[in-house]
Amino acid sequence: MVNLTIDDKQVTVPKDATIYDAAKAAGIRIPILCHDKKLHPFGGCRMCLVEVEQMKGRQIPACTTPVTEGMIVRTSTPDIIQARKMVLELLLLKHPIDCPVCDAAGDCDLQNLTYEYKVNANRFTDEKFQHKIDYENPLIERDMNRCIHCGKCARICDEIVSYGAYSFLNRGLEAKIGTEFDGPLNCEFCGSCVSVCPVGALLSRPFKFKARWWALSKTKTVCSYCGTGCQLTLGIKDGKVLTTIYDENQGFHNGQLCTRGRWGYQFVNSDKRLTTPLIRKNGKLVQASWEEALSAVKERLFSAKTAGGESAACLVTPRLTNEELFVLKKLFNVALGSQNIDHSAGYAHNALSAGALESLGYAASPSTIADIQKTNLLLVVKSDAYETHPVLGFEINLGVKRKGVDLRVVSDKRGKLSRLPDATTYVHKPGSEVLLFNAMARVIIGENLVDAGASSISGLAELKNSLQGYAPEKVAEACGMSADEIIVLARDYAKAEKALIMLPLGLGYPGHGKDLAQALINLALLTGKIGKEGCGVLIMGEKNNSQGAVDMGVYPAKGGKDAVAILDGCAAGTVKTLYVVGENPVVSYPNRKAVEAALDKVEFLIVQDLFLTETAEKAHVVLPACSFAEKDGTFTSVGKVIQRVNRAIAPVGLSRSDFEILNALYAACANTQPYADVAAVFAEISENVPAYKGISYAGLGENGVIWPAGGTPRFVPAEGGAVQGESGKYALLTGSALNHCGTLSRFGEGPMYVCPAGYAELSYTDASALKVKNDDLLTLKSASGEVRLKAKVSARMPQGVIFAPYHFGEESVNTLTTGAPVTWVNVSK
Amino acid sequence: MSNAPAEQTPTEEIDLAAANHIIDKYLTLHGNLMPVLQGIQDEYGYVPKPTIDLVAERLNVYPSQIFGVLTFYAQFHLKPRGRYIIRVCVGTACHVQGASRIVETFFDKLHIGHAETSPDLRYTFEKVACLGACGMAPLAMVNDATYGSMTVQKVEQIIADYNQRPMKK
Amino acid sequence: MIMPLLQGLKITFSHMFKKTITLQYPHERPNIPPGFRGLHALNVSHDKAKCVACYLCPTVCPAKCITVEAGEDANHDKYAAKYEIDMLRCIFCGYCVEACPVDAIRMTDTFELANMKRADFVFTKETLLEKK
Repeated sequence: MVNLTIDDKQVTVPKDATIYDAAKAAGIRIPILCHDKKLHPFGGCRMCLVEVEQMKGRQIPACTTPVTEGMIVRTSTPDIIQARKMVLELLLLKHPIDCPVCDAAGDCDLQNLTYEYKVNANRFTDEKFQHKIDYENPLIERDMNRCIHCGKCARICDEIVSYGAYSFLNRGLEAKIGTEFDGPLNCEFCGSCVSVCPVGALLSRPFKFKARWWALSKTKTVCSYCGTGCQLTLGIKDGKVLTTIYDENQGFHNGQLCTRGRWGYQFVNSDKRLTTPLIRKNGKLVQASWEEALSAVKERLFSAKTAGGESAACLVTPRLTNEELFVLKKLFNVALGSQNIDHSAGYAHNALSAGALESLGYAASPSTIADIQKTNLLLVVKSDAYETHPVLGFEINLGVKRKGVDLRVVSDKRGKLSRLPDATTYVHKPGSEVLLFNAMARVIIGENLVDAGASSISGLAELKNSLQGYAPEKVAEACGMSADEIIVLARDYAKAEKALIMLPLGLGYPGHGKDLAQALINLALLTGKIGKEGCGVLIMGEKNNSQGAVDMGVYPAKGGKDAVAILDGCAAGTVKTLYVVGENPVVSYPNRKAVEAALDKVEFLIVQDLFLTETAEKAHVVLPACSFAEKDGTFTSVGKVIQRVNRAIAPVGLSRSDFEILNALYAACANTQPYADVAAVFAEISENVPAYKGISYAGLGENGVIWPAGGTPRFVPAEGGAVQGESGKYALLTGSALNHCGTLSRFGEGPMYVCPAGYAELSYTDASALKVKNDDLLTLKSASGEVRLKAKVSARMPQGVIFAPYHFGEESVNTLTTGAPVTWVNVSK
Repeated sequence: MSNAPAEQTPTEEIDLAAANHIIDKYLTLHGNLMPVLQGIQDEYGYVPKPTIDLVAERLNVYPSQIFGVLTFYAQFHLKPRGRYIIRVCVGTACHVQGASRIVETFFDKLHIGHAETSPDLRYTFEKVACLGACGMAPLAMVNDATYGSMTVQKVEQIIADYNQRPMKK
Repeated sequence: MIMPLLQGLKITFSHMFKKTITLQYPHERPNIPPGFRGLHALNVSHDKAKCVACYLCPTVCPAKCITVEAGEDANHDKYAAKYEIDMLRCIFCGYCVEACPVDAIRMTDTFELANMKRADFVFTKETLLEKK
């Protein structure tokens, strides 16, 4: 610790602090333009100049100068104020004074400082910049005439996002921020640059001219896309969510958001939202009143109840809050007596609800998000971890670049993570993950790298036996990697002091199930890398409340039907009433034809959703539900963090929150009093769900609570066979596109601007063999169906492998898939 | 691995073999971007767009940063340059000795202006501030050859001479 | 007792010979003094409203009677797609004129704002635009 004096105040700060940090700690504000707490100090704007007595009154930048013992700092002498005024005058020389039409006004650092330092005249004159304004992309407007060259956009894009879209171009007076070849911006559009821009040089186009900053009311809540659990501040005016607001002090991610979190909010106030209940009359869905719709649903559920409950089933999305899921489960299990309730077709929770539960004793990942930056070696299963959980991708970037984390990506294709400094990517054959990790376990046992603590875990002998057939030399061929690579990876993993494995889940990743999770947990258990800081297996649920859905037990138990069995039951006629809450199985579940046939067959289909989805179009009753912005509750995200969701706006149209609907149905069907509010349900959750014991709704606070995990681990052998390739066919892999999450993001304008439709990504070699170019239509044909997708040629795909995102309704990839990890398809032009 | 030679993407008709060779030479060197770009500039006479993408891919540097470096240094050129670079000094001494007439004569004869390249890629003309040989004013240089005490007649002679010379190196 | 009465009558009679103050409105029109704050008008320049929809007037308005909605024109510039003043709420304080950074709004001498319907008191951009 270092002691220094700032403006006559004694401050004690760590020795790696800068004068700026020290002043901040002492509550003294030093003005800044180019500094951001998330970025490396830059010292470019000269606004933070201070005087240090030991330096003979020289003016030095506070943001780049480290503190020294006994330093005496003055932050606002008349000389300093004069210097700062001069800096502002020089900036205003080039910066246009178009505040009335600039969207940043009110949130502009330059404007605020100009006001604060009373710079109301300029001693200098010069011509303004005449740069062309970039209107080419639909999300970010770049007006470089307003730029003050703080370089924050270029630095955040490099340091945190690792995309590197911007750089300083030219030099001297002509210097400006630009892209490669000074062309229009074409990046992944996470909008981080917009969030840190201190002026109006980078602006959000969807929000352009919508409202002034001071007219917005703000509500803090949690993003409703992926399972990362990023905190979000919504900007609201006149009962509409108009934008997301950057708050650098929010959450583990310091307000950093990905492309869908930042731009995907428009679904909340979309014109396509359902505003009234719909009932099918004479084959057509017509508007109805809530009384009519609810009484139809109740009547149906009552008759199912009297028939024993088994004829009713439920498919629910893990996008609901914990409270809603809990009430829904109670509605089915207690009120109706049916165990047929599942979510995400089983694929997106199997690793937790079966894998982790058996191997660890609790259905959650043993690690937290904070472990990513604390580890030494990071083993990421599939480069897609960046696409499924982009903000965790930023955490990986930071870990690698700032903390020197050794990144190993084990994937069936390359990805953005492969490009990180010193990252090693092992490209294996599609579907051979379990084989590969079992081989690693076998190497660890064979080379005696097993941790001493592992012998006390039950099942070690069984595991050793089961791994007999997984010698690296034997599986190398099937994995498409050399035996040496497997051995080196296993050794490095075992020998690393701390190592973390990251496993993304999702409907697009049917291979990431129980076996893969168990193979990975076995690796961690063998090497003693569980239960320690920076170690473990981070199993990343796909949706905002995937972990919560597992915590609430929304998966079949006690002989209940799982999603596949429910749909089979619909087709066979044993399931007569299907209640679909928020799910869109027609697009997201494998084998579209079979799903559609099942939904057409079922006697009574109730769909509760925000939009008239492909599934809702088949319903007998459609109930309009509310988005996350219109409700209170809790989400549990990756790493077991329970966070509060706060209501920002009133329900759109006549829609009701899922809680209100389910609460009413539960009370009616169970013949009891409805719950008073979500807090009452949370209280019951904390009584009934052991993991949530002792946690109160009010006690969650702003940053939420991590529920404590505890259980007895054991080794469970994981079965993994080689995927048999089919000659002349391509391996089709499904998964997540960066701009989308599930099928919800299709209703947000932002993601749809950038990624409006499905595509088939293939390698240059395959493209030239098939003689296709970008945007040519490809016909993909599997045993179960055929779709036509636009080709996207990229350098990251290995030969013979095709990747297609699963989010889209038209030409949906699930026409081809049947739930196997790899689908073999014929491809033609 | 990202260090492996990349597949050639068909965007501009450029033979990337030489660029790949230059990158191979400096691949393990720390801080290799400048020598690689200089090598490419020497080889192609300018830095063609496909080589920027190639360097970005193989050295794992963002294309935007490479472009930033290229536009920062005056030594790099992004457009094809002439086989023969004519530089005429317009510094004080040369100016007094009538450099402006020399410049105008070159403009007239070559039909190109300052920092422009003739369509046949034979000549690039540049006015420069000082070439450091004021005693020989007015001064002109063609590539590495120096021509002192320039006159209008000598301009014509030089052009006639270089029109005969080969285009290949 | 008679004296105060006479004094009073003197004042009364003296007024009979002074200039009348009462105006025979509406047959006679009042003389509007400069600086009078009547109905607002949106100034026009180059055939377009000068207003750039900066939202300063609705922000400063103490009666909250101004509604502005900005739009983006073909040149990506900001203009007021909607500009409404609710004259029933307006207190004619003139803050909007003071706040305007581009001299887009002024107050005219129009004071006859009676209307038949409540809705007609909401003046739209078209009615507020300066008449040539």
